[in-house]
Amino acid sequence: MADNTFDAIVVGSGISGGWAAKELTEKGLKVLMLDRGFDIKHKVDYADSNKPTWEYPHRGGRTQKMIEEYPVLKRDYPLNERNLSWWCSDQDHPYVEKKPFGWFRGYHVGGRSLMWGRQSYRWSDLDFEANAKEGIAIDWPIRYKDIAPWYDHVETFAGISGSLEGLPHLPDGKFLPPMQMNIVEQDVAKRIKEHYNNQRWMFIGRSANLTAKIPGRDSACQFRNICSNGCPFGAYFGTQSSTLPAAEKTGNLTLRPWSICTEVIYDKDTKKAKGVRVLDAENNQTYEYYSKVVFLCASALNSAWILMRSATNIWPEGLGSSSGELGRNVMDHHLKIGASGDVDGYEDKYYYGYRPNGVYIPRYRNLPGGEKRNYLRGFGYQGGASREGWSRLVAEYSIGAEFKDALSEPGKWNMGIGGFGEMLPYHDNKITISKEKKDKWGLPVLEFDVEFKENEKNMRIDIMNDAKEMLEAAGVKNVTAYDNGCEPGWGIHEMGTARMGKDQKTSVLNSNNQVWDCKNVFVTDGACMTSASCVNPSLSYMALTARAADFAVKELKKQNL
Amino acid sequence: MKMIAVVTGGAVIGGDFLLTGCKNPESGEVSMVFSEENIAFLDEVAETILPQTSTAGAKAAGVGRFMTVMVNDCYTKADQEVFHPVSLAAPVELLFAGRPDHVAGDAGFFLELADAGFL
Repeated sequence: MADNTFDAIVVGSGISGGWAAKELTEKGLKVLMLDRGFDIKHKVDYADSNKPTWEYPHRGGRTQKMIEEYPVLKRDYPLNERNLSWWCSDQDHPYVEKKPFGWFRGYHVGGRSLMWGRQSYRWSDLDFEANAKEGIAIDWPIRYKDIAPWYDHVETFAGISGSLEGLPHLPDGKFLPPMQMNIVEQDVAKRIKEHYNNQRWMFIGRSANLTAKIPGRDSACQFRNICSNGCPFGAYFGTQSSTLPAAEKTGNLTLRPWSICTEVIYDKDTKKAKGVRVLDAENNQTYEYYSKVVFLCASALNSAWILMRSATNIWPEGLGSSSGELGRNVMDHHLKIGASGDVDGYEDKYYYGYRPNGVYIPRYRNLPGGEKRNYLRGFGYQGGASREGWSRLVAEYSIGAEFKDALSEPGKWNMGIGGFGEMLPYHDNKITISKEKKDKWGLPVLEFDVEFKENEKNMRIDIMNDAKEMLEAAGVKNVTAYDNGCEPGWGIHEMGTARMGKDQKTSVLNSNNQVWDCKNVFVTDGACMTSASCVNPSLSYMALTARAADFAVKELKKQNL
Repeated sequence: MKMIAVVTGGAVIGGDFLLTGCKNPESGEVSMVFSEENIAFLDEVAETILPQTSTAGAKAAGVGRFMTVMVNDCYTKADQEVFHPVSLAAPVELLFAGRPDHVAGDAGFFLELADAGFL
C-alpha cells in the first residue's frame, strides 16, 4: 500500500473521530486519522493537570489581553487561564456572524473530547419519534432499538457512571457505579419526588468519569474536578485516554496532526470519493490521501464546511447538497437559565473531594399523557449543592485574625440548577461559506445565520419558573431565578448541518450515516442529527459512529463501497 | 475619597503586560505603574485584612505584588484609574483606624473599593 493510500480516512480526532478510528482499525482497516491542529500526547502534554489555582498568574481568571484576543471565547466560561491553548485562536479562525453564534472550538488532536463536560445520556424514542409525531422537519430514519446495542457498546468501553432509574424516556445503560449525591442533594431529590408525586426526578449525573477501574484504563476518578486540563489518571473518556490508545494498539492507525482537510475528492465516474485533500497547517503544502471510505468527524459545522467545498463541479453547493439541506437545520441547546438559593442547616455535613459531576433532573414537560405546554419538546436541569467557600466573606468588608479564621470554615449550603433546553431544527437556521472572509490559511470561513425562535423562547419561561418552584418546593430558601440570555453555540452542542433521513430529497445522510450522493462518505458527528433532544449529545455521536463503522466494514466486505 | 495622583517610578510588575495606557508622569496625570512603595503599601493593607497568626499573613504570601498583577492585567483601564489613586490614598493605619473587625456601613476604604467594583 502506498504511503498516501489507506482503507479509511477519518477526518477529525475528537469524540466521533476517535471512535471511528478505534472501530475501523479494530476491524482490520488501515486508517489515517487527520486533525487540523497540533498533537497533544496523553499525560505528557497535560502541563497543568496537577496545577493548583494559586500557581496560575491570575488564579485561573482572564486578563484584558485575553479578552481582546478572544472576542468569541470571552462570551462564556472557556476564556480562562487554565486550558486556553486548548481552545482555538479566534484570530486565526474567524467566522462571520449574520446573527450572534458563539462557536467554541478545540483544534488539536483529541478536539473537545479533552475539554468536554462528560455528561452522557441515552436518547429514547421520545426523541427519535418527536419530529414525525409533531410534523417538525423530517423523521429520523432510526429508532431507539437501532441504536440501543451501540449505546451498550460505547458505554461499556468509555466507562459511564450512573444510576439505574427505570425512566422510559431516559433509558438506563451499562453503567459503572454511580457517584453519590451529597446529603443536601439527597434530601432535595426526595422532596422533589414527593412534591411532584414521582413525576419529576433528580439523581446523580451520568458522567464519563470512571468510578471503577476498567480494562485499558489506568485508574478510577480521583475526584479532583480539573478534568479539562487533561487527566493524568486517564479517568475520563476522551480520545487520548480511550479510543486513540485502542486504535494505536492495532498497529493499523496513522495519525496526522496539522492536517486541514479542505475537501473530499469526488470521482464522478465511480460516483464515489477517492480520498481527501489536505492543507498542511504548518508548511501550507497540499497533499492528497486516498481511501475506500471517508469518515467526516470534523465537528458538525466543519464537516458541513468540507462537504460544501467538495464536488462543486457536480453540485455547486457541495457534496451532499442535492437535497438543499446541507448546512441547514443548525441546532444547539439553550441554557444560561435556572435558579439557586440557600439551604438551612446541615452545618456539620460536608462531602468528599471535588466531584466532577452534578445532579440531573431529566425532562418532565410534554411527556406522553402529560399536560401540553405552549411549546414543543422539553428541557432538563443540571446542578448541585455545595458549601460556600472563603469568597463569601469578601463582601463583609471585615479585617483581622478572627476574619481570617472565619475564612477557613465552610459557609452555608447553596443549591442551584440550570436548564438545558431542546432547540428545534429550522430550515432557515443555516451556515454558508463566506464569499469575503478568510482564515489564516486563506481558506474561506463559515457565515452563521442561526437564531433561537419562539419555541425556545416560550420554553425558557418554564425553565426559569420551574427551577424556582422546584427548589422552593424542596425547602431551598432565598431562591433567585435567572435568565442570563443565551446565544446559539453556547451549549457547545452544534448539530444538524447534514441530517440523517429516510428520503434523499430531504436529507443529506441515510440511516447509516452515508451521504446519499456519495455512499463511501460517512458523517457521524453532530452534523448527522435530525433533532436535538435536550440531553447532552456526545454519547449518541459515539454510538452512531460505532454503528456506522460496523456498517461500513460490512459493506466493504460485500464490496458495496 | 478624593482621587489624587500617585507616586511614580519603580519596577513595573508583570513585565509581559506593560500597560499601553501608561500616562506621562511629568504631566502630573495618574500613573498606571506600581512602584515598590505602592506594593509595600498594598502589602500593609492586605496584612491588616489577613494578618499573620499561627499561619502566614498576606504580606508573607506576597499579596501586595499579586494585587498589582491582577490590577495591571485583569482590570479594565477605567478600573485601573480608579484603583491607582485609591491604593495610595492614605496611610494604612488611617484606613483601618478604630475599625472593629466587622466594619459597619460607614464610608471607608473597603466601601470605596466596593463602589469601584473591586470587592
